Amino acid sequence: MFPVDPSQNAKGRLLPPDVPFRFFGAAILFHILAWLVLVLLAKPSQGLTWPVLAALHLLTLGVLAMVATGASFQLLPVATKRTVRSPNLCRSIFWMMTGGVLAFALGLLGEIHWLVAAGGVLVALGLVVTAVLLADNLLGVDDMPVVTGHAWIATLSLVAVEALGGVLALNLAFGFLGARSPLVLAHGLLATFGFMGMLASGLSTILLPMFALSLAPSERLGRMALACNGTGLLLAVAGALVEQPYLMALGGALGLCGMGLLGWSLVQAFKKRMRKRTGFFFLPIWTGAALGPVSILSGMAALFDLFPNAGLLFIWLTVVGWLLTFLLGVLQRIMPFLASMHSATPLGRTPLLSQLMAEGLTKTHFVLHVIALVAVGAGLVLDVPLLVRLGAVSGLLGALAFAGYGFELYRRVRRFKSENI
Amino acid sequence: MFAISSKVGQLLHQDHLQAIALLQKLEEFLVGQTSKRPPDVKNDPVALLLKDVSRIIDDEITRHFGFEEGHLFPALAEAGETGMTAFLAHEHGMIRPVAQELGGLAREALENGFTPESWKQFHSLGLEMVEREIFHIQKEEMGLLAAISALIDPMTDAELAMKFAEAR
Repeated sequence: MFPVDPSQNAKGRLLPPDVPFRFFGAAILFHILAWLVLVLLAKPSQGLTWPVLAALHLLTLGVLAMVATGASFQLLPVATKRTVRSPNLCRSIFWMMTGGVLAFALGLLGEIHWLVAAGGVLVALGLVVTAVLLADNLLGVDDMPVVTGHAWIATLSLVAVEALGGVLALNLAFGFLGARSPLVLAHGLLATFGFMGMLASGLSTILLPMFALSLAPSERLGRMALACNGTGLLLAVAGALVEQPYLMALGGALGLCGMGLLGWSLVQAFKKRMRKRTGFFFLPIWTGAALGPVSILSGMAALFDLFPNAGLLFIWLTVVGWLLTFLLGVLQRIMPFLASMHSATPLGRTPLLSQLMAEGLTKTHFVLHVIALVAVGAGLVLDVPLLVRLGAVSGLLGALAFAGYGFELYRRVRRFKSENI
Repeated sequence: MFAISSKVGQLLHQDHLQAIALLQKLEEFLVGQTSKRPPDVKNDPVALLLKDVSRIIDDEITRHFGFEEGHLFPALAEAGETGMTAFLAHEHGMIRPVAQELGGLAREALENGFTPESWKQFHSLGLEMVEREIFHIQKEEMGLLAAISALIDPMTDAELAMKFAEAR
């Protein structure tokens, strides 16, 4: 038995632990803040008010983008077999994003337009550097086309999101845009379905087989899904910009096909998995994945005003139902996975995953998260603010349970290390 | 997990499948039995499982780990991949004593049965073995097999596959 030289990890594809974990830690804190803002300040019956926008961006930028950035820095190199060029650049991205999200959210809450613009620019800068690092990692990689194809679309979407987001943030300060609704819609679609959705779809074809020990999902179906997802996104964004609902609906239909094909291929691979006893974390992952198509359907309903507040439901189901549920499921697995790999003591021992995971807290979180999801969704559609607020309280308690899971993981790693010096 | 294009990768994967099948059988048995109820080793399915545990675990240690450390990791190191192989070899070092102790307990139980103490020890070690080995296989399936496909040329791949098959 011999100790692992940490410098070999840095040279290899495993980043120093502080890089992914600083993103995950920040996401856990922003998750609590987002729900707190919804509980205390939001008036959802008035639509997308400043506090609602603040909560929404705490979730999208503070949680989703933060997890996606940290996870992709660590996981994409596993697929591309190329190291991330600079851990220090990853760290500086973290500071830009964290500072930017805080400034952006505080600016929205206090209606301080220059602070919103400054925060938006800072986050945009961080995410553009992220896009450059991801593109650098993807360049020249020709195998695993389903993963890298989705990652490319995500990277390009990210650049477009930041360009549009920067324009919108600056418009708040200087007010130079006439009609900004088409840009806001395109920005939202690119951020959720483009950047986050594509990254989640691509990485799920590596992560889910790895967690379940199954063979890779069908590449043929994956390529078809990639084509549907890419074309669907393009049409939906174009439809948003030129205000053509039928074009957007066509994009949505293609997106549904893409999600369906990818989901089908993942389920087929999962059925043939080697590991029969899979952990609890698969429940939020499958729940989130199943809510993706539902969110598109609600978006289509919103396009044609099929029921009241369908637009709000679409945003809710996309951000919280699909992406947040899915990503928190992934996060509750990759955090102990990485922690265990980084916890080798000088004596050569590493903790067991079961020693690190406080699964009771993740179960508590999931129950509270689902209650929040349903209650807020119903409250938005039925226009019952009390239901929205009660749901948000449940979401806040769930976020605290998830933070407890993260803290317990940290505490258990520390205890393991101190007991095995 | 990736599509496996190399010959030696396919052989290692076959070994992983066999190991996982046994580990899952062992896990189900240990969870169902609990640590408080020593099983009757005269019971045929129990005896068969214990024989498999001692045989496959010994096999895994002497052949699979030995092949990787003696032939595969040096070939990968020559191709420039050292961080991952050092990590996996380090894990072998953690799994090996657990596996050997478990194999020893299984052989001892086949001869003399379990005492409440030896069963408790077997139960705890067995669950640890299941978790450590499956987590290890997960990393090999994810990282090692992909690295073989990417870094080992077809001729070296064929040589390694032959060496692995000879050791079987």
